[in-house]
Amino acid sequence: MAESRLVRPLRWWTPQAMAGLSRRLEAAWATWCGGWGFERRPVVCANSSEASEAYATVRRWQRVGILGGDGIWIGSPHAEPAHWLQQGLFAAGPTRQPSPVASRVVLEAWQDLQHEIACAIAPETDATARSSEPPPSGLPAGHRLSWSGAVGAQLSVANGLLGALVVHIGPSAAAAHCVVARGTASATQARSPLASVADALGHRRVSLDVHLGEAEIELGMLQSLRIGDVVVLDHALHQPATVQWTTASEPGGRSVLFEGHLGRLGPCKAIETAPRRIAATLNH
Amino acid sequence: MVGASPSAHIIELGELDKVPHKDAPPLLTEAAVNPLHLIKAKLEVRVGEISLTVGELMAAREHEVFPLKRRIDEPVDLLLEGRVVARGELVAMDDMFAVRITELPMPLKA
Repeated sequence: MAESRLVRPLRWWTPQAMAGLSRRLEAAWATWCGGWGFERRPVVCANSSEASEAYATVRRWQRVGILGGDGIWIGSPHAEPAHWLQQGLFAAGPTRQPSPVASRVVLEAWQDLQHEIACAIAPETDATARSSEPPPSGLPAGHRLSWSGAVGAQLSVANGLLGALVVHIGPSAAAAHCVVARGTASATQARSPLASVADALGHRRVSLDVHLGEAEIELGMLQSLRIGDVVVLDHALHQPATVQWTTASEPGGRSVLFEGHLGRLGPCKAIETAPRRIAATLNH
Repeated sequence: MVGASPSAHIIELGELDKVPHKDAPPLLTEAAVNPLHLIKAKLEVRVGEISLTVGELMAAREHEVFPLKRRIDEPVDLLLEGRVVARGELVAMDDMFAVRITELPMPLKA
Protein backbone atom coordinates (compact mmCIF):
# COMPACT_ATOMS: atom_id res chain seq x y z
CA MET A 1 0.00 0.00 0.00
CA ALA A 2 1.39 3.42 -0.95
CA GLU A 3 0.66 5.22 2.32
CA SER A 4 3.63 7.54 2.53
CA ARG A 5 3.56 8.69 -1.08
CA LEU A 6 1.52 11.54 -2.39
CA VAL A 7 -1.67 10.20 -3.91
CA ARG A 8 -3.09 12.28 -6.73
CA PRO A 9 -6.20 11.82 -8.77
CA LEU A 10 -5.86 10.71 -12.37
CA ARG A 11 -6.95 13.54 -14.62
CA TRP A 12 -6.83 13.68 -18.36
CA TRP A 13 -9.05 15.77 -20.56
CA THR A 14 -10.56 15.00 -23.93
CA PRO A 15 -10.83 17.83 -26.48
CA GLN A 16 -14.55 17.92 -25.73
CA ALA A 17 -13.88 18.31 -22.02
CA MET A 18 -11.43 21.14 -22.72
CA ALA A 19 -13.80 22.93 -25.10
CA GLY A 20 -15.11 25.33 -22.47
CA LEU A 21 -11.62 26.23 -21.29
CA SER A 22 -10.49 26.63 -24.86
CA ARG A 23 -13.40 28.99 -25.63
CA ARG A 24 -12.54 31.19 -22.66
CA LEU A 25 -8.91 31.44 -23.68
CA GLU A 26 -9.90 32.02 -27.29
CA ALA A 27 -12.11 34.92 -26.27
CA ALA A 28 -9.43 36.44 -24.04
CA TRP A 29 -6.79 36.04 -26.73
CA ALA A 30 -9.07 37.58 -29.35
CA THR A 31 -9.79 40.56 -27.12
CA TRP A 32 -6.17 41.16 -26.36
CA CYS A 33 -4.93 40.66 -29.92
CA GLY A 34 -7.68 42.97 -31.22
CA GLY A 35 -6.79 45.63 -28.69
CA TRP A 36 -3.07 45.57 -29.43
CA GLY A 37 -3.14 45.05 -33.17
CA PHE A 38 -2.02 41.44 -33.43
CA GLU A 39 -3.41 38.98 -35.96
CA ARG A 40 -4.16 35.95 -33.83
CA ARG A 41 -4.11 32.28 -34.55
CA PRO A 42 -6.50 29.79 -32.94
CA VAL A 43 -5.68 28.76 -29.40
CA VAL A 44 -4.49 25.15 -29.11
CA CYS A 45 -5.24 23.42 -25.81
CA ALA A 46 -3.75 20.10 -24.78
CA ASN A 47 -3.02 18.06 -21.69
CA SER A 48 0.29 19.39 -20.40
CA SER A 49 2.06 16.07 -20.74
CA GLU A 50 1.16 16.02 -24.43
CA ALA A 51 2.44 19.51 -25.21
CA SER A 52 6.13 18.93 -24.64
CA GLU A 53 7.21 20.86 -27.74
CA ALA A 54 5.34 23.99 -26.69
CA TYR A 55 6.65 23.79 -23.13
CA ALA A 56 10.20 23.30 -24.38
CA THR A 57 10.15 26.79 -25.95
CA VAL A 58 9.34 28.51 -22.65
CA ARG A 59 12.23 30.24 -20.96
CA ARG A 60 10.33 31.92 -18.18
CA TRP A 61 7.04 31.38 -16.40
CA GLN A 62 5.01 34.07 -14.69
CA ARG A 63 1.98 33.31 -12.55
CA VAL A 64 -1.03 35.42 -13.37
CA GLY A 65 -3.83 33.91 -11.32
CA ILE A 66 -4.99 31.33 -8.80
CA LEU A 67 -8.03 29.12 -8.99
CA GLY A 68 -8.92 26.17 -6.79
CA GLY A 69 -5.54 26.42 -5.08
CA ASP A 70 -3.74 26.01 -8.38
CA GLY A 71 -2.04 28.67 -10.43
CA ILE A 72 -2.28 29.90 -13.99
CA TRP A 73 1.02 30.80 -15.62
CA ILE A 74 2.09 32.50 -18.82
CA GLY A 75 5.28 31.18 -20.34
CA SER A 76 7.35 33.26 -22.70
CA PRO A 77 10.07 32.18 -25.11
CA HIS A 78 12.16 35.06 -23.78
CA ALA A 79 14.03 35.27 -20.51
CA GLU A 80 12.26 38.58 -20.03
CA PRO A 81 8.57 38.16 -21.03
CA ALA A 82 8.21 41.77 -22.13
CA HIS A 83 10.74 41.18 -24.89
CA TRP A 84 8.18 39.10 -26.70
CA LEU A 85 5.95 42.17 -26.88
CA GLN A 86 8.81 44.48 -27.61
CA GLN A 87 9.55 42.43 -30.66
CA GLY A 88 5.92 42.13 -31.67
CA LEU A 89 4.90 45.73 -31.15
CA PHE A 90 8.03 47.53 -32.24
CA ALA A 91 9.92 44.88 -34.19
CA ALA A 92 12.76 45.46 -31.77
CA GLY A 93 14.97 42.64 -30.65
CA PRO A 94 15.78 41.95 -27.03
CA THR A 95 19.21 43.51 -27.35
CA ARG A 96 17.87 46.88 -28.41
CA GLN A 97 17.09 49.25 -25.60
CA PRO A 98 13.52 50.55 -26.10
CA SER A 99 12.56 54.15 -25.54
CA PRO A 100 10.83 54.97 -22.25
CA VAL A 101 7.51 55.35 -24.08
CA ALA A 102 7.93 51.99 -25.82
CA SER A 103 8.83 50.38 -22.51
CA ARG A 104 5.69 51.79 -20.97
CA VAL A 105 3.55 50.51 -23.84
CA VAL A 106 5.14 47.06 -23.65
CA LEU A 107 4.56 46.88 -19.92
CA GLU A 108 0.91 47.89 -20.28
CA ALA A 109 0.33 45.39 -23.03
CA TRP A 110 1.91 42.64 -20.97
CA GLN A 111 -0.15 43.52 -17.90
CA ASP A 112 -3.26 43.65 -20.06
CA LEU A 113 -2.55 40.16 -21.35
CA GLN A 114 -2.13 38.86 -17.83
CA HIS A 115 -5.37 40.53 -16.85
CA GLU A 116 -7.27 39.04 -19.79
CA ILE A 117 -5.99 35.54 -19.08
CA ALA A 118 -6.67 35.82 -15.37
CA CYS A 119 -10.19 37.16 -15.97
CA ALA A 120 -10.94 34.41 -18.47
CA ILE A 121 -9.87 31.53 -16.24
CA ALA A 122 -9.69 32.80 -12.67
CA PRO A 123 -11.89 35.89 -12.49
CA GLU A 124 -12.10 35.68 -8.73
CA THR A 125 -8.38 35.55 -8.14
CA ASP A 126 -7.77 37.19 -4.83
CA ALA A 127 -5.41 40.08 -5.43
CA THR A 128 -4.25 40.09 -1.82
CA ALA A 129 -3.51 36.39 -1.95
CA ARG A 130 -1.49 36.97 -5.06
CA SER A 131 0.50 39.76 -3.52
CA SER A 132 0.97 38.18 -0.10
CA GLU A 133 3.72 35.98 -1.35
CA PRO A 134 6.01 36.19 -4.34
CA PRO A 135 4.46 34.19 -7.17
CA PRO A 136 6.55 31.16 -8.05
CA SER A 137 8.50 31.55 -11.25
CA GLY A 138 8.47 27.87 -12.14
CA LEU A 139 5.77 25.29 -12.55
CA PRO A 140 5.03 23.05 -9.53
CA ALA A 141 6.51 19.58 -9.60
CA GLY A 142 4.14 17.04 -11.02
CA HIS A 143 2.19 19.36 -13.29
CA ARG A 144 3.91 17.94 -16.35
CA LEU A 145 3.33 14.32 -15.44
CA SER A 146 0.94 12.17 -17.39
CA TRP A 147 -2.59 12.29 -16.04
CA SER A 148 -1.76 15.37 -13.95
CA GLY A 149 -4.83 17.20 -15.28
CA ALA A 150 -2.85 20.36 -16.04
CA VAL A 151 -3.55 21.99 -19.40
CA GLY A 152 -1.21 23.86 -21.67
CA ALA A 153 -2.54 26.31 -24.26
CA GLN A 154 -0.53 27.77 -27.09
CA LEU A 155 -1.23 31.42 -27.92
CA SER A 156 0.32 32.44 -31.19
CA VAL A 157 0.03 35.23 -33.69
CA ALA A 158 0.31 35.32 -37.47
CA ASN A 159 3.77 36.86 -37.28
CA GLY A 160 5.80 33.70 -37.59
CA LEU A 161 8.89 35.38 -36.19
CA LEU A 162 7.27 35.54 -32.78
CA GLY A 163 7.28 32.34 -30.86
CA ALA A 164 4.09 31.23 -29.18
CA LEU A 165 3.20 32.07 -25.63
CA VAL A 166 2.12 29.15 -23.47
CA VAL A 167 -0.58 29.41 -20.85
CA HIS A 168 -0.28 26.70 -18.22
CA ILE A 169 -3.37 25.98 -16.16
CA GLY A 170 -2.83 23.86 -13.04
CA PRO A 171 -4.88 20.69 -12.48
CA SER A 172 -7.45 22.12 -10.09
CA ALA A 173 -7.83 25.30 -12.10
CA ALA A 174 -8.31 23.27 -15.27
CA ALA A 175 -10.81 20.99 -13.55
CA ALA A 176 -12.97 24.01 -12.80
CA HIS A 177 -13.46 24.55 -16.52
CA CYS A 178 -13.20 21.09 -18.02
CA VAL A 179 -16.49 19.24 -18.08
CA VAL A 180 -16.42 15.46 -18.00
CA ALA A 181 -19.47 13.63 -19.28
CA ARG A 182 -20.81 11.49 -16.45
CA GLY A 183 -22.32 8.06 -16.93
CA THR A 184 -26.06 7.91 -17.30
CA ALA A 185 -28.30 6.59 -14.56
CA SER A 186 -28.91 3.40 -16.51
CA ALA A 187 -25.18 2.82 -16.74
CA THR A 188 -24.90 3.17 -12.98
CA GLN A 189 -27.73 0.72 -12.47
CA ALA A 190 -26.03 -1.77 -14.79
CA ARG A 191 -23.05 -2.06 -12.45
CA SER A 192 -22.64 -5.30 -10.60
CA PRO A 193 -23.68 -5.15 -6.96
CA LEU A 194 -20.80 -5.11 -4.49
CA ALA A 195 -19.98 -8.42 -2.87
CA SER A 196 -18.46 -8.91 0.55
CA VAL A 197 -14.98 -10.37 0.78
CA ALA A 198 -16.47 -13.42 2.49
CA ASP A 199 -18.84 -13.97 -0.43
CA ALA A 200 -16.10 -13.43 -2.99
CA LEU A 201 -13.63 -15.80 -1.36
CA GLY A 202 -16.09 -18.08 0.38
CA HIS A 203 -15.82 -20.86 -2.19
CA ARG A 204 -12.06 -20.88 -2.46
CA ARG A 205 -10.67 -24.11 -1.12
CA VAL A 206 -7.68 -23.95 1.20
CA SER A 207 -5.48 -26.60 2.71
CA LEU A 208 -4.38 -26.36 6.33
CA ASP A 209 -1.78 -28.45 8.10
CA VAL A 210 -2.26 -30.00 11.52
CA HIS A 211 0.99 -29.91 13.45
CA LEU A 212 2.28 -31.21 16.73
CA GLY A 213 5.33 -29.81 18.45
CA GLU A 214 8.90 -30.22 17.38
CA ALA A 215 11.83 -32.37 18.27
CA GLU A 216 15.24 -30.75 18.37
CA ILE A 217 17.85 -33.24 17.35
CA GLU A 218 21.51 -33.11 16.42
CA LEU A 219 22.36 -33.74 12.81
CA GLY A 220 24.54 -36.69 13.69
CA MET A 221 21.72 -38.32 15.61
CA LEU A 222 19.27 -37.53 12.83
CA GLN A 223 21.48 -39.23 10.29
CA SER A 224 21.68 -42.33 12.40
CA LEU A 225 17.90 -42.72 12.77
CA ARG A 226 16.68 -46.24 12.12
CA ILE A 227 13.23 -47.70 11.64
CA GLY A 228 11.78 -48.42 15.05
CA ASP A 229 13.55 -45.52 16.76
CA VAL A 230 11.30 -43.28 18.80
CA VAL A 231 11.58 -39.51 18.57
CA VAL A 232 10.02 -37.72 21.53
CA LEU A 233 8.35 -34.38 20.78
CA ASP A 234 8.23 -31.31 23.00
CA HIS A 235 4.45 -31.62 22.98
CA ALA A 236 2.54 -32.91 25.99
CA LEU A 237 -0.38 -35.23 25.39
CA HIS A 238 -2.87 -32.81 26.93
CA GLN A 239 -1.78 -29.92 24.71
CA PRO A 240 -3.82 -29.24 21.59
CA ALA A 241 -2.37 -29.53 18.11
CA THR A 242 -2.12 -26.40 15.96
CA VAL A 243 -3.82 -25.88 12.63
CA GLN A 244 -1.56 -23.78 10.48
CA TRP A 245 -1.70 -21.90 7.28
CA THR A 246 1.54 -21.74 5.34
CA THR A 247 2.14 -18.24 4.03
CA ALA A 248 3.73 -18.21 0.61
CA SER A 249 5.10 -14.68 0.98
CA GLU A 250 7.56 -15.62 3.68
CA PRO A 251 9.57 -18.83 3.51
CA GLY A 252 8.93 -20.80 6.63
CA GLY A 253 6.34 -18.32 7.78
CA ARG A 254 3.21 -19.89 9.22
CA SER A 255 0.07 -18.56 10.77
CA VAL A 256 -1.58 -20.55 13.49
CA LEU A 257 -5.28 -20.24 12.79
CA PHE A 258 -6.63 -22.25 15.67
CA GLU A 259 -5.88 -25.15 18.00
CA GLY A 260 -7.63 -28.45 18.40
CA HIS A 261 -7.51 -31.87 19.97
CA LEU A 262 -6.79 -34.92 17.86
CA GLY A 263 -9.36 -37.65 17.53
CA ARG A 264 -10.98 -39.81 14.89
CA LEU A 265 -14.01 -39.40 12.71
CA GLY A 266 -14.94 -42.65 11.01
CA PRO A 267 -11.86 -44.08 9.33
CA CYS A 268 -10.01 -40.77 9.39
CA LYS A 269 -8.04 -38.77 11.86
CA ALA A 270 -9.86 -35.62 12.88
CA ILE A 271 -9.43 -32.51 14.97
CA GLU A 272 -11.92 -30.83 17.27
CA THR A 273 -11.41 -27.09 17.53
CA ALA A 274 -10.38 -25.90 20.97
CA PRO A 275 -12.08 -22.92 22.61
CA ARG A 276 -9.01 -20.73 22.67
CA ARG A 277 -8.20 -19.35 19.27
CA ILE A 278 -4.74 -18.19 18.28
CA ALA A 279 -4.15 -15.68 15.53
CA ALA A 280 -0.42 -15.20 15.85
CA THR A 281 2.12 -15.59 13.11
CA LEU A 282 4.98 -17.95 13.72
CA ASN A 283 8.21 -17.27 11.96
CA HIS A 284 10.58 -20.09 12.53
CA MET B 1 62.65 -7.77 24.74
CA VAL B 2 66.15 -8.66 23.67
CA GLY B 3 69.07 -9.28 26.01
CA ALA B 4 70.31 -11.57 28.73
CA SER B 5 68.12 -12.20 31.73
CA PRO B 6 69.31 -13.69 35.01
CA SER B 7 66.13 -15.91 35.24
CA ALA B 8 66.50 -17.62 31.82
CA HIS B 9 67.66 -21.24 31.81
CA ILE B 10 67.88 -24.16 29.42
CA ILE B 11 64.90 -26.60 29.31
CA GLU B 12 65.71 -30.26 29.58
CA LEU B 13 63.15 -32.26 27.44
CA GLY B 14 62.18 -35.59 29.00
CA GLU B 15 62.16 -38.92 27.18
CA LEU B 16 58.66 -40.00 25.87
CA ASP B 17 57.25 -43.54 25.62
CA LYS B 18 56.22 -44.17 21.99
CA VAL B 19 53.74 -46.97 22.85
CA PRO B 20 50.28 -45.67 24.06
CA HIS B 21 48.43 -47.17 26.98
CA LYS B 22 46.07 -49.93 25.87
CA ASP B 23 43.12 -48.87 28.06
CA ALA B 24 43.27 -45.17 27.27
CA PRO B 25 39.96 -43.76 25.80
CA PRO B 26 39.90 -42.44 22.22
CA LEU B 27 41.06 -38.87 22.08
CA LEU B 28 38.41 -37.56 19.64
CA THR B 29 34.69 -38.28 19.65
CA GLU B 30 32.80 -38.68 16.38
CA ALA B 31 31.33 -35.23 16.91
CA ALA B 32 34.75 -33.72 17.22
CA VAL B 33 35.85 -35.40 14.01
CA ASN B 34 32.80 -34.08 12.19
CA PRO B 35 31.54 -30.92 13.89
CA LEU B 36 28.59 -30.85 11.47
CA HIS B 37 27.07 -33.58 13.61
CA LEU B 38 26.61 -31.05 16.39
CA ILE B 39 24.31 -28.87 14.31
CA LYS B 40 20.86 -28.88 15.81
CA ALA B 41 17.91 -29.50 13.53
CA LYS B 42 14.23 -29.21 14.27
CA LEU B 43 11.98 -31.99 13.16
CA GLU B 44 8.36 -30.96 12.78
CA VAL B 45 5.49 -33.37 12.90
CA ARG B 46 2.57 -33.03 10.53
CA VAL B 47 -0.37 -35.15 11.55
CA GLY B 48 -2.35 -34.44 8.40
CA GLU B 49 -4.13 -31.85 6.32
CA ILE B 50 -7.57 -30.31 6.40
CA SER B 51 -9.19 -29.26 3.15
CA LEU B 52 -12.02 -26.76 3.49
CA THR B 53 -13.37 -23.62 1.91
CA VAL B 54 -12.74 -20.10 3.15
CA GLY B 55 -16.44 -19.88 3.93
CA GLU B 56 -16.28 -22.98 6.11
CA LEU B 57 -13.17 -21.65 7.82
CA MET B 58 -14.76 -18.29 8.58
CA ALA B 59 -17.90 -19.97 9.88
CA ALA B 60 -16.00 -22.41 12.10
CA ARG B 61 -17.02 -22.56 15.75
CA GLU B 62 -15.56 -24.00 18.92
CA HIS B 63 -15.75 -27.78 19.29
CA GLU B 64 -16.35 -28.20 15.59
CA VAL B 65 -14.81 -31.36 14.18
CA PHE B 66 -12.88 -31.37 10.90
CA PRO B 67 -11.75 -34.65 9.34
CA LEU B 68 -8.16 -34.84 8.18
CA LYS B 69 -7.24 -36.15 4.76
CA ARG B 70 -5.47 -39.05 6.42
CA ARG B 71 -6.72 -42.37 7.66
CA ILE B 72 -6.22 -43.48 11.22
CA ASP B 73 -3.67 -46.10 10.24
CA GLU B 74 -1.63 -43.76 8.07
CA PRO B 75 1.67 -42.49 9.49
CA VAL B 76 2.49 -38.91 10.38
CA ASP B 77 5.15 -36.92 8.55
CA LEU B 78 8.45 -35.78 10.00
CA LEU B 79 9.55 -32.64 8.24
CA LEU B 80 12.98 -31.06 8.11
CA GLU B 81 12.99 -27.56 6.64
CA GLY B 82 9.56 -28.20 5.17
CA ARG B 83 10.48 -31.51 3.50
CA VAL B 84 9.31 -34.91 4.60
CA VAL B 85 12.41 -36.89 5.64
CA ALA B 86 10.68 -39.68 7.51
CA ARG B 87 7.28 -41.05 8.53
CA GLY B 88 6.17 -42.77 11.64
CA GLU B 89 3.47 -43.90 13.98
CA LEU B 90 2.17 -41.43 16.51
CA VAL B 91 2.75 -42.87 19.99
CA ALA B 92 3.02 -41.64 23.57
CA MET B 93 6.11 -41.73 25.72
CA ASP B 94 5.30 -40.87 29.31
CA ASP B 95 3.05 -37.85 28.95
CA MET B 96 4.54 -36.63 25.69
CA PHE B 97 3.73 -37.27 22.08
CA ALA B 98 6.37 -39.26 20.23
CA VAL B 99 6.86 -40.78 16.79
CA ARG B 100 8.10 -44.31 16.17
CA ILE B 101 9.90 -44.27 12.82
CA THR B 102 8.34 -46.56 10.23
CA GLU B 103 9.62 -45.12 6.97
CA LEU B 104 12.84 -43.51 5.96
CA PRO B 105 12.04 -42.62 2.35
CA MET B 106 15.24 -40.65 1.87
CA PRO B 107 18.62 -41.83 3.02
CA LEU B 108 19.32 -39.52 5.95
CA LYS B 109 23.00 -40.26 5.83
CA ALA B 110 24.48 -39.19 2.52
